[in-house]
Amino acid sequence: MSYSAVIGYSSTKFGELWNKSLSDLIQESAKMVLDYTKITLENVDAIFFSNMLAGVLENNLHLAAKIADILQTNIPIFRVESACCSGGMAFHLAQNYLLANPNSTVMVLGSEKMTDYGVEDVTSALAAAASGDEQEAGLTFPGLYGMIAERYLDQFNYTEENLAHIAVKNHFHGKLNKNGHFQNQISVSDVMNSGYVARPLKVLDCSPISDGAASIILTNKAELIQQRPKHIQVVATEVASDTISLKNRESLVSLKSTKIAAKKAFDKSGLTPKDIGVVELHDCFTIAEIIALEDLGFWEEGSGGYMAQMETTRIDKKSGLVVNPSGGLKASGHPIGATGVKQIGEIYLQLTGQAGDRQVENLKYGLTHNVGGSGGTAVVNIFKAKN
Amino acid sequence: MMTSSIKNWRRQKISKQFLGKIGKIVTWTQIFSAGNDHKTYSPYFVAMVEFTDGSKAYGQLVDIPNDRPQTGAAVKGVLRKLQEPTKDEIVTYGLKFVIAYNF
Repeated sequence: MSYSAVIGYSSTKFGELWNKSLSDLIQESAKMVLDYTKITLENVDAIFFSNMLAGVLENNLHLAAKIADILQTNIPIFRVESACCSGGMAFHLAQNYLLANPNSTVMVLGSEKMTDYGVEDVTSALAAAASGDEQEAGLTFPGLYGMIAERYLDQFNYTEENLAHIAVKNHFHGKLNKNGHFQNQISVSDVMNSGYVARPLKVLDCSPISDGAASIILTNKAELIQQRPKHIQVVATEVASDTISLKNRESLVSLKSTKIAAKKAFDKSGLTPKDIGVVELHDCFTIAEIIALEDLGFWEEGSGGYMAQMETTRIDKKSGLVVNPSGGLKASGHPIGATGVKQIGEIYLQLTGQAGDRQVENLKYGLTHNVGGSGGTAVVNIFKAKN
Repeated sequence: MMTSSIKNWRRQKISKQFLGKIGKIVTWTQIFSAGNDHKTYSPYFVAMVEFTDGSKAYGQLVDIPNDRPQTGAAVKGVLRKLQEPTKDEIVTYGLKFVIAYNF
């Protein structure tokens, strides 16, 4: 046996957790994943910690040392920041650490504390991940994705209703996830009647501002993997980059970083999109899920509006591909640093048959897709069921 | 969060090349939920504009006569106030766009 495996996952509740600090969330999530995997911190060789906003919002940096203090450990801790794909990037770096260190075990822990601050503060902080000229023009992240959506709807002759179905589908899944931010079903009418955040995107087209933490244990220690029958194999983890500014992109209806990372992941694994049964992807906004499914190779370019309207990727449609069974960023919530880790955790639950009411049947492979900013960075991971 | 007016001043060296130039709207949005620096102007339109030489720039659209701009519409770069005065009482000016008629 010579591979890396995810052997455990835990997540705090995602949502408005006003009685919990960033430190509380980190401690809670780390303890839960250690308890779940029945290993102690002495058996963990390093921690990869993902967080985006603590420095900007809380004047809170040197978080590695703070985590050492919280967890009472002296092992190396690496803080990873890559905007909204900080979690996916932390996982990617953790896997590379294992490739360089045989017989090792690491924790990937992502956390974000966002709801202590007003919407304008969080909007400004998130915009730090945009280019200087985008910030100067007053563009926010909903605004940047609004520009992508406007172009997509115009180019392929769709309407805002096509986008709305993504939110409806993800809330359908979200009501089955008790750890998610929202458990309420919404309708297309609800989405269409919600106010604009950045045209053509409305409140219910957007993922929420959330608090939360998620952790996984990743190991290449054969003995540990054998002792944990509920594990999944890391088949591929790929990262790609693109220009920070949307205006310098080749296309406004596609993220090149996603396309490149996905192609590399599929090429290296020898798999195709048809092999994947479940996907957790980066639906920060409804348009993001549509273009992601096109860029990942599941849908033809320009067909996404129609496919979204059919809600083919909903769990009860049994189409062979379920997307965002956790509820995605839209319903499960988007505590930035935790999101990419939670996506991997959801695939872990799905591929080990532990997803409860939202369990997708007959799975062999799962994929995660995590995006930083408006597509400046993308991480694509593929996992294989082993039980 | 610290925003320096000097940073904006440096960027003006780039953005001033677009003043008075005519370009076309590639895509646009209207921001209703803005960050701290721009919240007093919301809702406001922002466009991505492409010029004949292929260069592109962002800017808020001002003096829009209709309820929404049209992709492909001609616009002209103008110098306007970008945000409210900073704590240092510096008023930042930069690139915005107005509809260019007869183009």
